[in-house]
Amino acid sequence: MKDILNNIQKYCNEIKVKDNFITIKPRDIKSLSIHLFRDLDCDLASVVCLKEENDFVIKYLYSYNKKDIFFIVEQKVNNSFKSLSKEIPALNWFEREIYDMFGVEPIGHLDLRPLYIFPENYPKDFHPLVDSSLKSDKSYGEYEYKDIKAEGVYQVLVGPIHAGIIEPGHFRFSMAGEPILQLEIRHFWKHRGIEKLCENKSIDDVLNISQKISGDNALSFALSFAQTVEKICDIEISEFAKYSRMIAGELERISCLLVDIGGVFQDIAYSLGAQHMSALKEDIMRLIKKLSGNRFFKNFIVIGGVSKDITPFYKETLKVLNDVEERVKLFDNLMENSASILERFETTGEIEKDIAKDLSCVGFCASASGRFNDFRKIHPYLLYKNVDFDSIILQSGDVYARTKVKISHIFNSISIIKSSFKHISSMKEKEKVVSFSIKDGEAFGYSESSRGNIITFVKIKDAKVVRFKPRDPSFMNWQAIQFAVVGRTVDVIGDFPLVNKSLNLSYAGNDL
Amino acid sequence: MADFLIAILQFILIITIAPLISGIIHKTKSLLRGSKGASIFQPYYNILKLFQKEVVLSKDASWISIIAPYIVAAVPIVLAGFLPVFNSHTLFSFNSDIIALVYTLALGTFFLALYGFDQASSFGGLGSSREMMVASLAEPALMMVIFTFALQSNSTNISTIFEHMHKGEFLQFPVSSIFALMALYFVIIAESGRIPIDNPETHLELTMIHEAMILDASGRSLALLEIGSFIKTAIFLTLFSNIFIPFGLYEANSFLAIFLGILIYIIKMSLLAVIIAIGEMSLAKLRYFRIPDAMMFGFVLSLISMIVYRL
Repeated sequence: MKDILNNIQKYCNEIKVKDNFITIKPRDIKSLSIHLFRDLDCDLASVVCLKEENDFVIKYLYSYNKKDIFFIVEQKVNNSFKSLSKEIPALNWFEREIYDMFGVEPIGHLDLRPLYIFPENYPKDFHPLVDSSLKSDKSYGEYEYKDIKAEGVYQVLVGPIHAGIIEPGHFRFSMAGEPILQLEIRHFWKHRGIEKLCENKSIDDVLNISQKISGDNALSFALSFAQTVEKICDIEISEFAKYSRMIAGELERISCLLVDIGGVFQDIAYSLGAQHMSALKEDIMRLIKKLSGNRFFKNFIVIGGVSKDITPFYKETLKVLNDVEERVKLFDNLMENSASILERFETTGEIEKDIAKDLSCVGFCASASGRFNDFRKIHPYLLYKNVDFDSIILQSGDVYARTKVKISHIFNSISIIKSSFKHISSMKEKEKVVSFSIKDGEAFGYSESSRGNIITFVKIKDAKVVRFKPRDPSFMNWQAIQFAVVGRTVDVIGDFPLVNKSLNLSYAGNDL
Repeated sequence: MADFLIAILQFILIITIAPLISGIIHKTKSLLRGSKGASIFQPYYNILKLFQKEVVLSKDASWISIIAPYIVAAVPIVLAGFLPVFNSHTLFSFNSDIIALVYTLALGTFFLALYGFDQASSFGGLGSSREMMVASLAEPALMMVIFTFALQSNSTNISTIFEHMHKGEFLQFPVSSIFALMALYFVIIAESGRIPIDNPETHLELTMIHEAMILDASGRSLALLEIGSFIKTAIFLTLFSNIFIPFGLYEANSFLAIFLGILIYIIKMSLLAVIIAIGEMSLAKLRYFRIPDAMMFGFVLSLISMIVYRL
């Protein structure tokens, strides 16, 4: 810790340490960022822009992976700032986002095409987080794609409307026969303006909205938001509530990962596995409904604790979990012993470790590529320190590795739930919610969802939320997908749906 | 006259039973997966429904898109008249040459591929190019199998080959026949677009082969294309069942013989459909560029079958 601080000292004017967050006001932001990102091997966790009286404050959040430390790098900017996306590729979308939303230009960014504010839909110079009034309804052009134009190269356009019932995303393949020469992704088709919506809302309203950001991660978003608010207001929730939240989080993880595993089976036409996984997922969802009254754990988390006592369903939970464990084990074995399944999974959609590093990939995508950033281990929250589980890290970065990581996550979650449940059912004092008062302030908070960590920034003023900026794990991982399929000889376009499914990224969480 | 009536009956039988095979495969798969599944007659309802719907054509479509579905459906229907089902009298028994059958089928595939290209959708083009690859890889294996039996029975006439097999010649070269059986199974899987070559149930356009070509088809066109592929599968399975399960081909014209023949035929076809379904359940779809390996394996099997016979 001391060494790190000493090293950083030379890059900055001011250092503030509060808990595990180190806030830095740099002298030279570029060299400091490179030091954090490269030398200390931090992951870029989130970037938040805040509008102040006359200028803007940009906060970069870096997560140190070897110890429970976060770095917040702050810089004050006027109407432009120096782009760092060449040095830190993970910043690419964040800088474009800031340009779209605030009109603050990242100078030197290589690709400043609009990310959210489509030229087909909005007038020029429309920056909703600064001024959301539309001065005219004139659109100013068309989005430029970077198609490869050459003899024999053709474009395959997929989406934004798909054959399956999924969310919108536009994938543009430049193809030479079956191999993919280039994949361009254009997302953000259904921007809901959640950041704008949450401005000056009460905390309960924002908690409610946060559950609707990404459907299957409803609980993780609520948890991330609630923990941030609790941090700002110095609320220490009861042990009972902490364990309850952990159980809920792990159940949500199991339900999501079962869908993922079923999905990859479905995409290689192994429908037996797919059917069983979706049946198991339904069992879990029914259990969640019993526990919380909602199939997605909505309204389970409240500021200061949890809304329901889940202990009466201890036996039922155990029964469902045992069944899940048994059947997932069975299909894990089936997969390991089936040449035809392994043939599809192995070497498909490899994401190299360097790519995962450069783009700060999170969750199972990172774990499968040899990088580890499970916040439950690195930055333990709730009572994850007290439970014993080992997260596996694989190196190959292919669909097989990702599936294996997911399967191990399921087993981990089951053991976490079992030990936590045992704990709380023997508790005499079941204090669901603690009393609290709202304070002003701002903070970053986080939780680990099934896809990776969710980072939330909240600023409270006069008991109202003035800025809420969640960062979905998919926002980091989406950019990795093209590196998994492009320029590879083993993966052709027919493998793309499988690679996509193995990453199972959220469109909604990505597009706030 | 009786012969002619029997021929007509056989012809109608193949055509009417064709959608049932798909229905049985689907039902079996559903049951194995633990779900109820649609009725085995669902493909009939689907075709009926599609015939009542209008055809929507892309503005880029040419006359190919209008005629191709008819050709794709007509080719297998005509060929159904070549094929003995439970009696060696067929509508075209005078020239029911097995090589003609195989290559006439290719005409349907050719027009199907054109149809895929014609509507200027990128998926259609992908599907057509893939279908042509699979078809060209399946062809040598199929021809080898056919030559094996043509040599055995000294004829390329389907009726003669079938009669020959049904007289117990199957047992004369058992090793050769078993290799041919395996090879022909590969060909049937490839030609009818089943797992592991193609997945008829998928919604992922990028992975489709057969379905990609007919993505833009609707209404009557789609119904015709579906009928074409159903009957094509039925023809291959009839070929397979009459060579390798040599029961139920009768020379007698009595009602009992006809009834028994039809019954045995339906049982044989259902059995094959169930076998295909079980095979599909236990396999994942192959990677696209693994298909040549699989088809090469089929070809080698057929080659061994022929060599073993000649030894």
